[in-house]
Amino acid sequence: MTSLSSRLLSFLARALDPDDREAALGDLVESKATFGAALHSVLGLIVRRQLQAWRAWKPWLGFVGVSVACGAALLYFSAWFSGAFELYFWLIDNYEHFDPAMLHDAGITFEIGIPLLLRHGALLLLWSWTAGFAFGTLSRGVIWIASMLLIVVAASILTCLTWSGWNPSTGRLLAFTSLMLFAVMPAFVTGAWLGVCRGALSPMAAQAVAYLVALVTMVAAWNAGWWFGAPNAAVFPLCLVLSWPAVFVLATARTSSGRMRKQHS
Amino acid sequence: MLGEFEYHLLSAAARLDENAYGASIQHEIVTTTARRCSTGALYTTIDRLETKGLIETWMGNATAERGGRRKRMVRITAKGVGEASKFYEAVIKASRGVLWEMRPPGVES
Repeated sequence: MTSLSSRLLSFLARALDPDDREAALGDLVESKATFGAALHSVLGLIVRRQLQAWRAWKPWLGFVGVSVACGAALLYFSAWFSGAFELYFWLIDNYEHFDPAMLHDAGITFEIGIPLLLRHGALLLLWSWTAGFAFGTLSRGVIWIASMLLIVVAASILTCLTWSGWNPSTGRLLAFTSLMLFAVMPAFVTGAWLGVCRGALSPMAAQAVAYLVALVTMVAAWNAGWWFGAPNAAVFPLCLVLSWPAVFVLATARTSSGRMRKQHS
Repeated sequence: MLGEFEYHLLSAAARLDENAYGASIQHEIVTTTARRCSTGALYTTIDRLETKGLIETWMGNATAERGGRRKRMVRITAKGVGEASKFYEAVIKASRGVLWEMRPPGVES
């Protein structure tokens, strides 16, 4: 077996647990298996382990729960985003017909719009971190397959949302798409990726980080009118349901603090 | 009751004794049964038997022969011996008086 094929096998075997990887690759070296036979063995073991892992409820909760929560969050965030910036999109489309000084006197400036966008972008980053953390924790054994499936789901939702912002008569597709691609998606993907890495490495969030992120996310998302418009006590339970990743982060933080108290006592 | 492959694995582990690990068990099964034994089937069955308490496993030492990678050692437990014995007795009882019991091994009809 060449070094390239060995490296390829080692790369594929990263989908296995460390002990499985050590044992399987060592067995293949010892038996002097050909590349084809070794590839067949490694892939076969990966498929069997994945099928075994997907029989548990946690990966399904992680995948379906986060997909639904992400879909709802992206839908409501995009609706808010589109509505809040409708005026700015219209201004961009018709900038030739306005005197900038007049807009400035009326308080319609990008100095107001950009900080607003940044605040909501930061909130989206925090929310997606909690979703990524919950996903990474629940899907630890199937992280690669589940991540690929989730990327397909998220990309489909984002494509549909971006396309729905197209208005041929005003041509606001470019402005809407640009803001979605360069503002919304980076915040969402960055937060989600950091959360997945953290959740996959350690199922218990550091207590201070967890409380801060989870509480800020839940309260801020509710106050920002993400879910169902203006804050409303009647829809607060629904907000909690859609913020379940943040609740999950809080729960793991409480679990970790309980275990630490037992260890120190 | 054990499955056929589980019995083959337990028998191979019992025969190999202290030298029972992934690759050696796989080689023993292939030699004994003249059938292919995939790595995936081997390790998932090892996990299943360990969950049932019929074997114990641990990571052994790395060797140069294995490219510096450790091996997964296997040891059959008392419960595993009991279950394997039950399977063996069941096969013996089920085979009494049947045509192939009286035929010498390796002879085809």
